[in-house]
Amino acid sequence: MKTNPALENLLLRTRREFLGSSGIGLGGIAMARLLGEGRAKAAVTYDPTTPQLPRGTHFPAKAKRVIYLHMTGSPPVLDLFDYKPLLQELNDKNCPDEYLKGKRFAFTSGVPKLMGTPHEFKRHGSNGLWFSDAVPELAKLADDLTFIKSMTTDQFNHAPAELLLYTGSARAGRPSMGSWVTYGLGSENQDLPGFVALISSGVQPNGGKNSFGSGFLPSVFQGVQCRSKGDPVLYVTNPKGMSRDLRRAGLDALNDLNRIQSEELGNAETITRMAQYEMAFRMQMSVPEVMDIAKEPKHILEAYGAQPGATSLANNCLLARRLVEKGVRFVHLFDWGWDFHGTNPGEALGNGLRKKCATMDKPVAALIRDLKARGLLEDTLIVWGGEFGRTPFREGRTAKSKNLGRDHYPDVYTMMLAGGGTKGGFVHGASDELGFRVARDKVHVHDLQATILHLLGVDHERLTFKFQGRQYRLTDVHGKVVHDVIA
Amino acid sequence: MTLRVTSPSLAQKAPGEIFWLKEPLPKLEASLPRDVFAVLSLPENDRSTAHRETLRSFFSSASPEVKKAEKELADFSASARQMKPQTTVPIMREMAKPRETHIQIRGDFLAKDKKVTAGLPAVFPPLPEGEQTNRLAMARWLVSEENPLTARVVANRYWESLFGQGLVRTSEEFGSQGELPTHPELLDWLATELVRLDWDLKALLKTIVLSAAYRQSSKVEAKRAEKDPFNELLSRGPRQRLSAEMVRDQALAASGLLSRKMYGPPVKPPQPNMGLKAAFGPSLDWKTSTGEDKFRRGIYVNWRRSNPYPSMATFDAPNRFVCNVRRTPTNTPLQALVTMNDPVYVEAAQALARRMVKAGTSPEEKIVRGFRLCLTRHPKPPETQRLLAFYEHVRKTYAADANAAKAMATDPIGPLPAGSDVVELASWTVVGNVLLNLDEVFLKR
Repeated sequence: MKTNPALENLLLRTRREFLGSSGIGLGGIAMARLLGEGRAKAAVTYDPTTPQLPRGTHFPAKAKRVIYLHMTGSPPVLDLFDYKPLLQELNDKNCPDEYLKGKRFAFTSGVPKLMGTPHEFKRHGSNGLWFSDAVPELAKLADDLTFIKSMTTDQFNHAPAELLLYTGSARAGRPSMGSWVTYGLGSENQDLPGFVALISSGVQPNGGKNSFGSGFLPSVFQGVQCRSKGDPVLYVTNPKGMSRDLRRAGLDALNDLNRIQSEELGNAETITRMAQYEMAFRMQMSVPEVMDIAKEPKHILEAYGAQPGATSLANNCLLARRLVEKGVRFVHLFDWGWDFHGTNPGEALGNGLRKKCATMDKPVAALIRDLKARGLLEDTLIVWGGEFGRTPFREGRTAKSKNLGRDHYPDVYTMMLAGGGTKGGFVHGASDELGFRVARDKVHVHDLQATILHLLGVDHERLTFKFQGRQYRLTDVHGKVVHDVIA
Repeated sequence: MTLRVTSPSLAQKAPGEIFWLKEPLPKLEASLPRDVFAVLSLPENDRSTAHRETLRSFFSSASPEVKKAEKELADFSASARQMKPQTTVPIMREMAKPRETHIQIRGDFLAKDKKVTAGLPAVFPPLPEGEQTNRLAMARWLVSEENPLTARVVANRYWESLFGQGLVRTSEEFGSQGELPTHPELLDWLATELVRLDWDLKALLKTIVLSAAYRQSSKVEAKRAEKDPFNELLSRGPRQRLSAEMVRDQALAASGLLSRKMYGPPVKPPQPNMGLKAAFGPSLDWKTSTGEDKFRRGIYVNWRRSNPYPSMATFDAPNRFVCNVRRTPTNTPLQALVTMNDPVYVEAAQALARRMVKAGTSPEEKIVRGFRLCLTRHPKPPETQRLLAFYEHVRKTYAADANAAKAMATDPIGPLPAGSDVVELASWTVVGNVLLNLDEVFLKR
């Protein structure tokens, strides 16, 4: 046989492990192979009985797990972290032609007015990082935070920009970041999904389930959406009228019948399936347990602003901590409502932004503090940001209204990192004086992807999957690790 | 002068057998009404619409078959006019002036390289001399006898769907990045058979399923397995998990719930409410279809690409954003949760129980019935005994808990049939849930 696509590898591994053997526990013993040994672009090998078993890294990892906080719609970072005094001075002046020539904007045409921020900025922390008064709690953590102020993307509409960020391609269909990570590394906990998606503010991400889907990777690596209302994971609850004891008795009968059949036909996959049912049974216990935040002490609930039974970013931040604490590899939060066009008071820069930030600032700060207190921050990477930036000028549609808003802007924006081997109290790159262009150290979203994988101990060029005759990777044919942000 | 007249008996002839009469003129004049003959006497180009209508109505009035066909045509045309389109279907047409196409460097549509035109890779036979490079020429070329690739690809896909893996493992990729065939002669023979059978896919399928390779047992013998771990040598019969759609359809079929209704707009089977909206769109929750639409086959299930039907996505249905020829089957705990707890499968177990209780009087007979419905075989004695013991255990549990029994027997399928025993039905539902989760149920072998 020529090259082995992942599936053949899986099959080889299963059969070798299982043929002539029996017993459910076997899968647990199966070795987890280092991914792509050497420089060769080998496929990841793993035992399909335990596809989530932790696998080795390419090099020592700084971060063991990721909490990715996506602010769906893209927050106006010029009003939060990227302070532009010159923009204040030139407030309401016509935007210079050089920034408009040859450009297209989602909702702005003609000559818009430059717009300084309505928020107060101050320096915080030992390195004097800038924060606006909309994020007072994060400001207190300045020394733990790393900002990349020279982010850039290729896309200026939500869905393609989000897909580019999370799948490496603006067109839907590729595997998402979390699925690449769990495919490459497995997860530390076998009774919980290795990749969990948590959604707040009532709307799916712009990329739909593709933003946390597995694309063409095996579906076991797709992000599993967990909820604080209804089934915490779809179908984890037994049907009405069936107790856990009865489910156990049913599984015992099922196992016995499967065993009779597999002894006669000798198929290893039967044993694999039995192992999956056992894991499902354990998940029926472990998932509701980890998703039940009511067990948290009052001071923790208050610190996050979380309320048992609600669906909020605050609850999801607390859930993220509970999940990573249990060893979940990648937790992806999506919070809708950051598209500050100024089309209504809730999405206007003044009070609208302050109110929205109040639902984010406190729980995200609480999450960072909580992880730190538990000794988890050093190897848990937190990433915060949107899919692109927002214009330094007022958006066209709302220019005459009371509500201040900014249009979509891909050329430069800011993202925030914390923990997981990042420096803290540090700023990488910068935008120019007005916030239109990268002034130094450009970081493309592919570079961010490469950096996240690098912190996890993975070489982004060697984490590949062969599909339709081509080796694919998260960073496509791009990506440079931003070593500067790494401690 | 010779007149060409279609025969009045034409409707009795099979299509393709239309022929022309050549009669001497005077004889014809005598046999035709005057106005008809007058029209016929005019040169064809001089005839008006009214003239043509005269001719047409004369010939059709002379033939009841034509009349009947005309009426049918009129009826169909009328009903066609009343049809309202359910959807639009985009079609493609060659542009009068083809667009200029350039190589896009690294796929960037702004970074244009040299101009390119349509053509075929050099390794393939060329288009016939003088043929235009359009879609029609491409279609003809694809199935031309000089092109061996199409038939190989098609034959390989059908082989793959029956055996679980193609003779070329990379069924989506026959190029230099793909794998070589395990049995090149067999693949070529199947390909030439397909062409010889005039591309009749049913005939191809029949050829394959009647082969010794397909009909042999899928039993894995240790010795053979060692020599042929991937079944590349076809040392045993195929064994593969059903597709996402089939997993669902089969549970509905075994329980008797499946609707075989065909065609029409997509349906919305039960799906859990998530309380979420799509980005810039409406709620993702839907109102479950009613009546038999709830139980239509998987291919009719409404598919929203950004939010695919959850249980099917769990069973490896692709997201449909990129073309996916070959699904990678996985085996996960989330799949177990679907077939154990998804209300669709709970309802199937309840319906299966209602079928099982009707079989005979003894529990053994009901077990046999359930087994045959789910596995199309009789249970072996140890299997019957194990299920019997389980049934007794479940029965005892529900006898002590009437509320649980009622929920298990009726939610979501609906009220108990008149005269039925709730404990009985609840117990067989739980047994049915086990049957529908047997490893063997998920396999084609």
